[in-house]
Amino acid sequence: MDKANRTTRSLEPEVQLPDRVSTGSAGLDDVLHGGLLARRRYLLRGGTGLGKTTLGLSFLTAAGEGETSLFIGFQEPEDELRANAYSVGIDVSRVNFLSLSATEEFFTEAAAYDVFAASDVEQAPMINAIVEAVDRLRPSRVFVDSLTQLRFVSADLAQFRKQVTSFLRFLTDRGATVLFTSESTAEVPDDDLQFICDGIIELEHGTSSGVLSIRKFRGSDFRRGKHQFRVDRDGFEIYSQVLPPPQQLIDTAPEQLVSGNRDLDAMLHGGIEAGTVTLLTGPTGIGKSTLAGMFAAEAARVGRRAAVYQFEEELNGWLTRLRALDVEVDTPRNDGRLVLEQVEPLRYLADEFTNAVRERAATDHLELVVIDSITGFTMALGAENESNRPLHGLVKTLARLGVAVILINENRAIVEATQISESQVSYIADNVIYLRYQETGAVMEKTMGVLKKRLSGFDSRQRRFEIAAGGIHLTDIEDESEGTCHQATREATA
Amino acid sequence: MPPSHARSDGVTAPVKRVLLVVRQPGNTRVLDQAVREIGMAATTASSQDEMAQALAAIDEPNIALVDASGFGPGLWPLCEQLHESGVPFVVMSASRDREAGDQSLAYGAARVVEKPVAKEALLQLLRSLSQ
Repeated sequence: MDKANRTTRSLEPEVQLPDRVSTGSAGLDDVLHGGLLARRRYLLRGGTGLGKTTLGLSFLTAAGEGETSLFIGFQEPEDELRANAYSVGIDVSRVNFLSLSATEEFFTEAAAYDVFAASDVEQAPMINAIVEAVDRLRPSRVFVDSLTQLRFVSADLAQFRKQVTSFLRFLTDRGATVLFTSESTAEVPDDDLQFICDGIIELEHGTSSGVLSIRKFRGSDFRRGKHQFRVDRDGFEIYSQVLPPPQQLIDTAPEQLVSGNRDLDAMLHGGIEAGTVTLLTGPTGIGKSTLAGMFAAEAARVGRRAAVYQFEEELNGWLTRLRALDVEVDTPRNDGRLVLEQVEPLRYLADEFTNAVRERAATDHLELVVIDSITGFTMALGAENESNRPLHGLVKTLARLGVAVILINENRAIVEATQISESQVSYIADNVIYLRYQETGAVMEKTMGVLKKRLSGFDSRQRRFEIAAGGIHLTDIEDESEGTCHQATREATA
Repeated sequence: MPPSHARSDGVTAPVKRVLLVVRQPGNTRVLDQAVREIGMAATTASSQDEMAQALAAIDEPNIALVDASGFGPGLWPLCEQLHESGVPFVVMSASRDREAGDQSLAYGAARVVEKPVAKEALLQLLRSLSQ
């Protein structure tokens, strides 16, 4: 651009900005379908300590080469802001700061006054400082923290609204995309700011983490719902809710994954199908994890890739038991075909975990995923108050990707009438394999059966089983009296 | 020689001077800035002694502005002295201290205004009273 053109188009930004502007958070950009729209005004709402300033700093540091960013702060001095940014791993060396917060001299030199209203004293120097900084820096990104402070130096509400509108226009006319915060209280609500802006990003305290939602986004679609986020050494990390991809209609029968146990696979009429969800349900200690391990190990043995997410039992104990049953787990584990992860309590947010599994399924071409167990999933991920949303989103997504999913469900009662699950997850399942204890005289025997299978027929007979060297040994139940259980199962199915 | 500024007719007019009698430094600062914005000069005093010295040192202030806060009963002799000096003065009092305001008038104040006062209104008052 020649000098003459630059003069005549003085309000054009120095750098040609893309239509979308990254927020500095890949997760938030994803929620916004690519980022904020350039040269617009966005309100970042939320209570204290939720991470508004951190997100604002991420937004500023996402400025590309040739872009300038400006932090206009009314509360904290520059050195404090820089230190806080450093503590969450954000490099603000390229960010310009305009701190309009009160200095210590305001207190030590008794600079407080009461002869004039603040609007008569503070407003003009504040505006002069902002205009000077914006004209000097020509920022393409501006973060204002917080705009509510302008309210306190405005003569009245009408003046405040006019000033805010004019201030934001001043910034966007000069090429800036503006993110600003507000402090909304019952006494001083920020409804007016919500009307003025082009978009609203809301931060709230959720049951197990902070949650972010988009309340408004003019000119763009966005991912709805509440998305978990955390602020830590890696800055502001947001994990959007995992949504299943569109279903691909197929005209061939899906491949089956087998357990490697001939009798069990026969009960399943060949195995469990790729892209289906299998609920493996039963009381504690009956062998659910072992059975799931057999499916995973067999998948890996024949060259597929499988992952087991263990939320409850220690992996070492689980591996030892499988080795004792002659199930080969070490070779596929060493060559990467069998991925094992011990999921520690509260290490992940629920949406963080589901995103990680989805990503691994796609990049590692997983064909089988075991979640052991549903209760562990909800407890360890702090998702106990979220109903089954994260789990539902994850298993549906994996299934749509063609992954077979095994969910392990623990029923509390040791001996009970056949019950699929207390977690109300059976609606997710395409297949249900139940395991149960049965009192036979003085002996507590183990039985199993198939209760549901959507993509094929199955053997509905209940079988007695034992877990011993060589794996699972199934035998038919011949005693007529035990037919009662069989009948009960059928009734439960009906 | 008192400072002066050029009028539009080319004649140099003396700068109007305001005596600020204020205890609170923050108020002194903002009032000093405000009177300067309209081309007036300010002399400050934070006690009756300082006020007496100022009255003796400067030719004659056009007007005095007294912030009642912090003077307590010492406000009245201060007002009396200003009244006796023939300097018109305005007293600024807190809205809750209506009695002080009323009494200031009895001690010769030209006007009493409640704090906070609109800056433009106060400056306009100073302009008109200093004529």
